[in-house]
Amino acid sequence: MEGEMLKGHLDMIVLAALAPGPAHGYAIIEEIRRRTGKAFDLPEGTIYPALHRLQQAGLLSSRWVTSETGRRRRVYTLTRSGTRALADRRAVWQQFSDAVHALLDGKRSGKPA
Amino acid sequence: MIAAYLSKLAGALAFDPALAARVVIEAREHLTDAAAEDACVDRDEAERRAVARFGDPRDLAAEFAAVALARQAWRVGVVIVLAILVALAMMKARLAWYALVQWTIADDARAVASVVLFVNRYAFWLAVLIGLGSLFHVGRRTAPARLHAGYRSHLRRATLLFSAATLALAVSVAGDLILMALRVKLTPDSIVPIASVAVEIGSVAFLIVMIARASRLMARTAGALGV
Repeated sequence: MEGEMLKGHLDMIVLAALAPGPAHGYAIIEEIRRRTGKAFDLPEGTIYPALHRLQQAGLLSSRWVTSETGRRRRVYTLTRSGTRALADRRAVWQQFSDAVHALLDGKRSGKPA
Repeated sequence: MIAAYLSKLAGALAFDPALAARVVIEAREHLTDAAAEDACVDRDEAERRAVARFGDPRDLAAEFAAVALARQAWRVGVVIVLAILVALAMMKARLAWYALVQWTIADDARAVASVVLFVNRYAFWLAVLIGLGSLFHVGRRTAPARLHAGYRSHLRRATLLFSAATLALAVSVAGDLILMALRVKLTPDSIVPIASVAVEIGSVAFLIVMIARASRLMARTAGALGV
């Protein structure tokens, strides 16, 4: 999928990848790959500015975790606002997706314009 | 390979050392995992591929810059509102103290005091108005995915509002200083009004330092990224 198209929806993608539970950056990328069948081709580093931006917006929280091997990782978690934002964006996306499908399939939604 | 990439990334993020330190740790862990999980037997090749997939350091820096500047601007806005609240609390405390010790302004200084009080009052409310406006201005727009000229203009307007609010607050604090000088008697009790005005002056000085630092960060970031 095109990088620019993906970037426009990156925040929603990251929020969705964190919905199952807290994760660090690499695990988020892996989760996105796993759930999309590697359909998204985005520079992996792009995820980090998005994580920082979402944290600043209060949609994520983060903390340092040190593993048994001594490696420090920043683990991100959805906040309540983040969970709500994901639900809102999912609803908007679903509506948009249905409309595009209808348009491409040549169907009419039956709703007034 | 990873070390060289991290060095470039740290260089691209040099406009914000604290951010650079955090991002370099996150990137190092990410690249180490990515190279370790690469099926490629050649370690150097695995690292090269991990670095290539991570993206250009300069592009990443431009994305981080927008977040860093937005955070800095929000902090300045919050500190302005806090400084205004501190000034208000100090004014109220001073007035209560004057009532307690029954210090009044001498008759021959009343004309000057009334002019200063007029300026003081309006400067304070102007600071409140512009300070809240600056916070609203900063908060109404979230950081874009990447720093661009339009967002830089938005931040420049925020800096102007911060400066205007600080100037109004400085005028109000100067008024407080004059009013205190007209009223205070040089006794051990005068430590209370003097200390309260010192706190106000300290708040304004802190604000000026913060705004100067935010402006420098913005100029350095925009210069480094060519925005």
